[in-house]
Amino acid sequence: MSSYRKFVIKVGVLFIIFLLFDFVFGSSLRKLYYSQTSGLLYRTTYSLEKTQADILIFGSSRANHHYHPDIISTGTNCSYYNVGRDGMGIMYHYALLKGILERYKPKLIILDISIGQFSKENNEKEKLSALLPYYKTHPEIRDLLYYRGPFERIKLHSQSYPFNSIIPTILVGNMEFNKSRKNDLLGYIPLPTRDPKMINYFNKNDFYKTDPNTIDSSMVSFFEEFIRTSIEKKINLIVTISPYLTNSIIDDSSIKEAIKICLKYNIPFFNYYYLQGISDNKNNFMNAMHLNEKGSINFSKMLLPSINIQLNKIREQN
Amino acid sequence: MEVTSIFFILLVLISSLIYYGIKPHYRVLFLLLISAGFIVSYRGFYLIYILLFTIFNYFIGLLIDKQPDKKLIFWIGIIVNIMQLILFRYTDLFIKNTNDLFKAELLLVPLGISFYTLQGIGYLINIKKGWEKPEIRFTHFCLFIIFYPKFLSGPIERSNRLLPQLTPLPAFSEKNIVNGMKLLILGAFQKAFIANQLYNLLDGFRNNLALLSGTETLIMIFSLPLVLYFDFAGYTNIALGISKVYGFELSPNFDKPFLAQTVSQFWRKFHMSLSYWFNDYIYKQVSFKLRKLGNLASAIAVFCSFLLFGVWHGSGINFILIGLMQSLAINYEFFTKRFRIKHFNKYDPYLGRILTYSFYSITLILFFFQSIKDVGLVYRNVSNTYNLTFRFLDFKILLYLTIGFIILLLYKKIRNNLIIESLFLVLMLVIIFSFSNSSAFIYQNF
Repeated sequence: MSSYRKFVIKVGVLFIIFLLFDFVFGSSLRKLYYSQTSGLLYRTTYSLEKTQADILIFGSSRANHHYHPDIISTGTNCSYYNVGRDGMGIMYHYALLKGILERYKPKLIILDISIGQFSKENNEKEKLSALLPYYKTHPEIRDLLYYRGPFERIKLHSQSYPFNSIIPTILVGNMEFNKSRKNDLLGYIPLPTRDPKMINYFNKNDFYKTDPNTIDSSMVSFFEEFIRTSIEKKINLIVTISPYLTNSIIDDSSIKEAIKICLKYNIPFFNYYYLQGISDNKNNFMNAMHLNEKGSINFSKMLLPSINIQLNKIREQN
Repeated sequence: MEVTSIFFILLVLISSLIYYGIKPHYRVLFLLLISAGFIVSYRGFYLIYILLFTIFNYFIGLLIDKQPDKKLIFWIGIIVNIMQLILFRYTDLFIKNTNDLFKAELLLVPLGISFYTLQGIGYLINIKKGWEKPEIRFTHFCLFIIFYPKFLSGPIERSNRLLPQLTPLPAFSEKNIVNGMKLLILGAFQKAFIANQLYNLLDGFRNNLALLSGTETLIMIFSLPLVLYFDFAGYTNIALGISKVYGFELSPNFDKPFLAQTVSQFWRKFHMSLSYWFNDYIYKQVSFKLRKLGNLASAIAVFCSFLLFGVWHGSGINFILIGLMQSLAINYEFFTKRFRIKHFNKYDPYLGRILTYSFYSITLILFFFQSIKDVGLVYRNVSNTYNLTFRFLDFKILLYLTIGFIILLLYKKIRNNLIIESLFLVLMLVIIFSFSNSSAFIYQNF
């Protein structure tokens, strides 16, 4: 037998060992992933597979840290869960919405968006990796996961691949100290106060403008799909921009696109990037883009009347 | 295409099986096909552009050799090569205006343009000087330009080094495939784990630049060469490893650069393919033309080489300053050599290594911080308080880096033992799998 053929057989055997390893390793990781009872990955699972809350908050870290559960749930007399997740954009949240709506319909969704929400630099397709562990059990999100790359369909045949790059997080999430710790309040994570001298404003100039060419039009489309899906399923939706630490006038292309689409579908849009009494006070912020717990309480109180107006509309319709 | 992923590593192995399984006269076409596929996986535009570039240089190469008026054709080739690099890399307006005109993102900075432009220019110079004959087979010349392992960030391969390896093509060798795969895994580990963790460490400092203590600033500055080295050396090992799988030897880019005792020595050990390119095609030509000026010719040649070296990295003033600083240091070393040997020889090699590393760290501030404000902040922070409070130093990252460096050091020592080496490779693969994300290589932007 030629040396080449012998080598092909060796590689074949290696490949079979690799597949076995992938199956055992992947299955173990899946078990460990789902056995977490707190932490970021657990919250994603809870958001997608368990929550039955009346009010859901969607968005990135700003959503996750800005909408105080006690204020909103007490003020509305509705159950609340915050499905916001740090760093996640509209593609992630659209996929999450599709997954959640397979199980139940919340009464109200608040979608918090940010300045630069649809920027090309956000690398949203990469961030969908957060939903790879749910590929097998949630067929409704698969089409979105395929956007990650041309070989994604092939890679997702691997048992281990969905857990690519989160193994340390899974292992730490299963340690005893992590299991006993509950560090979130219905998905909401309060941020600590910080010395105001260490916090800089979002923008030093009086005027902040972004170039329309920085917009990723596919992300704008996903935002529109989020809205359309909510309307089709008769879910009430509010789109908000929560406060920044700023005194500037913001002329952001993403916000303009979002306003256009909300007007088209008659969706309430609350642009609170600057809220007097909050945005001009560093004591409300942990950094220029994130409210601390005190700031989130103040903001949630200010937002409450608008939320109740929407909820009253729902009650009247019913 | 994520070159530090397990999927990519498997694809390389599978491609090598197909490569050696097909008839030899189809193998160049096969490599062209997978190289084209690799480039298209980024964007189709990059493939179209590099093919146009290849066709142009192929015909210019043939014409230089055949036409009586070599000089004119040669200079047309050189000027077009340089102009297209300037247009795409250094003129935002060209791309912006074209895209605005067609209201679509038609043009982008072609990936790898800085690398393959130097390859093209080097090829034309070699033909003009009579150092090699032009490659008549378009397929072979095309493969020299677009060969996928070196497409993203080099090494900047010489035509008279790679083209001869294509005729005849290397025969199947299990040793080449195994050694190539080992180098590929090592490179992916260096990039996916060590370089990325170093980058995360750096980001922790960069995101809080105004608040760093003196200690943290120094840690940041002295980590800069390591960030660049592991990112780039990782990629180079991936490129060399993949090439070896197919039986080719690409030019090395690094030779223990942090053991260099002078800046001159450093540039013979760091990004060697680039520094030797500038040495052979700029320094030697300029110093020869000005030879009547004696030592001054060498000084001017060093200045020209490193000025262009800086400009090659980018159009900003910071890159030009980086180049100038290197040329000043090298000229200083040249003109003070006797004095330094007389007074400081007893401290060699350690003093030299520390000074060289420190010098390079300081120049890299201009590489990693491109706004004048941030550069100023870094230099100012050096005079901040020195204490042992590390607010922005992530100890989890330090732990990862310690583990990474231990693995690398041990791997170098245990390579005679097949079983232990295999276990180390499996460990590296698991770590690559656990930690890889899609951060680009630093030099991918050039």
